[in-house]
Amino acid sequence: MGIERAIGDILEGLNGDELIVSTTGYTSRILFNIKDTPRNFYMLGSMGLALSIGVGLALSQPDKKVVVIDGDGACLMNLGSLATAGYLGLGNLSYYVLDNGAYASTGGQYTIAKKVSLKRVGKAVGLKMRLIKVGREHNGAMGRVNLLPQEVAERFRGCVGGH
Amino acid sequence: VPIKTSDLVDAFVEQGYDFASGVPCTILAGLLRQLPKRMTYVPATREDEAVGMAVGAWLGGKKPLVLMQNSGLGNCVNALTSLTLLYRVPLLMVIGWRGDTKEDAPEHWIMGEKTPALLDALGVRWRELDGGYMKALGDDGVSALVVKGGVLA
Repeated sequence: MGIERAIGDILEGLNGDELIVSTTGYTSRILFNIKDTPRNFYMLGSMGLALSIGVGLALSQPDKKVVVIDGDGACLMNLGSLATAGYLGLGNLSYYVLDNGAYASTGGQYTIAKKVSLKRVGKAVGLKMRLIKVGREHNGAMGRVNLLPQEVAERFRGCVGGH
Repeated sequence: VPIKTSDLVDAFVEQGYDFASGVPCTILAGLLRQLPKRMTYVPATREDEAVGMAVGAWLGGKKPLVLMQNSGLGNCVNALTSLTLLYRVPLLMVIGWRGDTKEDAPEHWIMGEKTPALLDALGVRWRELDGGYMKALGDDGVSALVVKGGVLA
């Protein structure tokens, strides 16, 4: 499955009122190009922190559903955040990892997820992960997230409300 | 004159801080005991994770604090430059300043000396914790309160 299709499938399974945090690189680009909404928080950097951001969000908005879309490389970068999320056991947080076995945004270098089972890591720390195997190919012509970082944050906060 | 930890916690609550995450520091041990009684506190495995959770909380309408030792400041440089500073997230970091003198343990000497320069280089507004802390820090941009040993009682 291609990464665009995988992200499309995730979106199809949602109600449309979820808050989405997408990891840096093509994942955020693709989400932006498929379906941009103020409820999407596009990470432009800080690789490895998608789940941490999702955890903070899910804790502060317990009545909303939070969806985190991460990649295998980013997930490996911050395995500690899996432990924290497993410890907290947040019912309103869904954690997806698109596993293409590669750092696709930097030229397709392989990740060690080929051999290391992220699913078992998740299991060990008590975190339910939705691991989706995807191919390395992606539509390189998809444009960047065409918003200033502070616009992404401000419109997101605007639609979350309550402040 | 040392500052009472409970006064600092009161000041944080009065200023609207209602979420905290962090990694412990001996200097902040008293604060880490009291703060979780007044607001949500989530222990992080690393300092950058604490910054990430704080940003998530802010996106969800909270006003976050991050507690750490200065040794962990290096761990969150990318989180500061490509998340909090980039997205202009107001964040107050409370940083225990180990190694402010050479009497401290050797592992703290270098970061102890470099902490002010590192914060300045990143564009993080900071000041040492003293009696003026309450009006010292605004709500815009990342800022830090640096706490030397013995200052908090």
